[in-house]
Amino acid sequence: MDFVLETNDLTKHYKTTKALERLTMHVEKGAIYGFVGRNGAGKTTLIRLICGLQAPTGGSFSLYGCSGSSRDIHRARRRMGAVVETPSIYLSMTAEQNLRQQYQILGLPSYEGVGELLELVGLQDTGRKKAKNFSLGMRQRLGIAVALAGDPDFLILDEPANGLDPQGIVEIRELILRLNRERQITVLISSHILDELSRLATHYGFIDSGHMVQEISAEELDARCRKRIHLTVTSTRPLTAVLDKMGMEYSICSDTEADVYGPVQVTELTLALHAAGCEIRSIHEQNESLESYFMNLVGGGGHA
Amino acid sequence: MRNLLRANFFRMRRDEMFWTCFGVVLACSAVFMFFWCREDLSLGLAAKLEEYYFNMVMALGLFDAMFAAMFLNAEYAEGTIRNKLTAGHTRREVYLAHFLTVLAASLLIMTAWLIGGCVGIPMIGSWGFGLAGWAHHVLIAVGLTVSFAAIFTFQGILFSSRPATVAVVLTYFALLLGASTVENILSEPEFSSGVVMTVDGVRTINPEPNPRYVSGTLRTFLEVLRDLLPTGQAIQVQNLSVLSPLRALACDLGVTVAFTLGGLALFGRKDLR
Repeated sequence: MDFVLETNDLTKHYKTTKALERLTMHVEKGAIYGFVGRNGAGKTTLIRLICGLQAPTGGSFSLYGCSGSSRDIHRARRRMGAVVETPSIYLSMTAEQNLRQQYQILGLPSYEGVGELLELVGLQDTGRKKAKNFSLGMRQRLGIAVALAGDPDFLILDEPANGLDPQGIVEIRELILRLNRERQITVLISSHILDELSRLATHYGFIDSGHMVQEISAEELDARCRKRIHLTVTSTRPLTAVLDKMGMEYSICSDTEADVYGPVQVTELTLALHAAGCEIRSIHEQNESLESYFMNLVGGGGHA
Repeated sequence: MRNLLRANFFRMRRDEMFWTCFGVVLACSAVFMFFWCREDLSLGLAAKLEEYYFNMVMALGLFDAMFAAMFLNAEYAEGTIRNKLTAGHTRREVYLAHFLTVLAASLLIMTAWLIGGCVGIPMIGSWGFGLAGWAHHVLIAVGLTVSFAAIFTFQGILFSSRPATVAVVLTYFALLLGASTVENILSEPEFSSGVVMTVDGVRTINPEPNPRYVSGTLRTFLEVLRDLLPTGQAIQVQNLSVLSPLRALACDLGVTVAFTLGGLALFGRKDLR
């Protein structure tokens, strides 16, 4: 598998706190990777390490296969763009001047792409208006445009929906999807707005107290969160025979437990199982959202 | 690094603080020179241009500090320093590019003083010590400006909070206070005056050693300290009393190298947000 970013036991300790503790993660090429965790879980710390703003205390990471401790990491970073916490823009400059500034930092030979980038983020009509007079959403979009200036193929967005109104959130979401689909840009988004993230992400990484709790693809997560009946029976052998006969989709969890998907006629199933000599010990309906999945995973007691 | 410099100059050209400092120094230099010369002419004094021309050199550090503090703090306050590092530039390049930008701005602000002061030429004539004397003093001014740039870049890049902006400006005043104190100590005469005023009129007595006069190793130390402080050099330029230009320039080089190497080492380890 082709990974844009891999971390291996990545650790970052500050004087009194352990922000990251042996974190291992894999961001696949072409993915929209939702990096989920509570406030203070270590999401921004990881992004700072990847961007070279801070040095890890232990472990390693690689960007496009280039180790974070190698001299060439600076070259690898040229292939990525990032918006860390707040948009990094000069408030006394216009949107166009901000992009020109970034073009110069990158050493691009001409300003040819500036107009196209402004159009892409919907800021083409801002003219001489300075960034300090922009709305939060406009600043966020300008921050993304600045991050896109070097035509990166990996984009890191730290809480891009923070503080945005519903309209702004939709705009940012559509922009991210467009970048991923039309430009094949791999995106790493850290967020605690899980509902929003579930509309975008193709992969998830759940982080808690600096640890990676689980990495999972959106398909897998959908399957796990799917509406189902969880049955505990005396034996799953007669259960499978009955379910096959009824033409139902199911998965066996253990010798005595199984999940049954789709609409279930409980009375009909109970009678069929009774006839097959199988008793139902418990029956639960399960329908998890990303939010409840995350809370179950990290044990609740805080806000994602 | 060339890209970073280009980007920094692009921003400097649009920086309000830079143009404010440049404009204020130009205006003050021209206006003060005009009034000094006019007063001179009205009193019939035959002062030379250099007696007034170098007065502004003391204030240059303040404007350099103001520019450096605001310019560098914006990198942290607006988070734009992240763009430079994420774009693949090394911390060394980022630091040096900022130092060179602050230096260039400081030299341009100095140029505003040099141009503004020329208002006095048509009024009281050119420099009495000729162009060579002028170049000699300006060279020291360039040297102390380089020192200022190194000190203020060090502070501006390593201390990223808002109060640090004020601290950069306060550093200038601290340097000024330090230099004035050293200058006062060094300017004590070796002997008390041999002429005293009494009720019977002026009387001559044998001059006595001044207890506040500093000599020997301590004097040498204070002289070097005065040269190490860019404000100390500014006082000497203003008073047209640069005793050892080579030592002053060597001190500038030492201060610049020490602060830049120290800044590079500390910035390389600094956790940025």
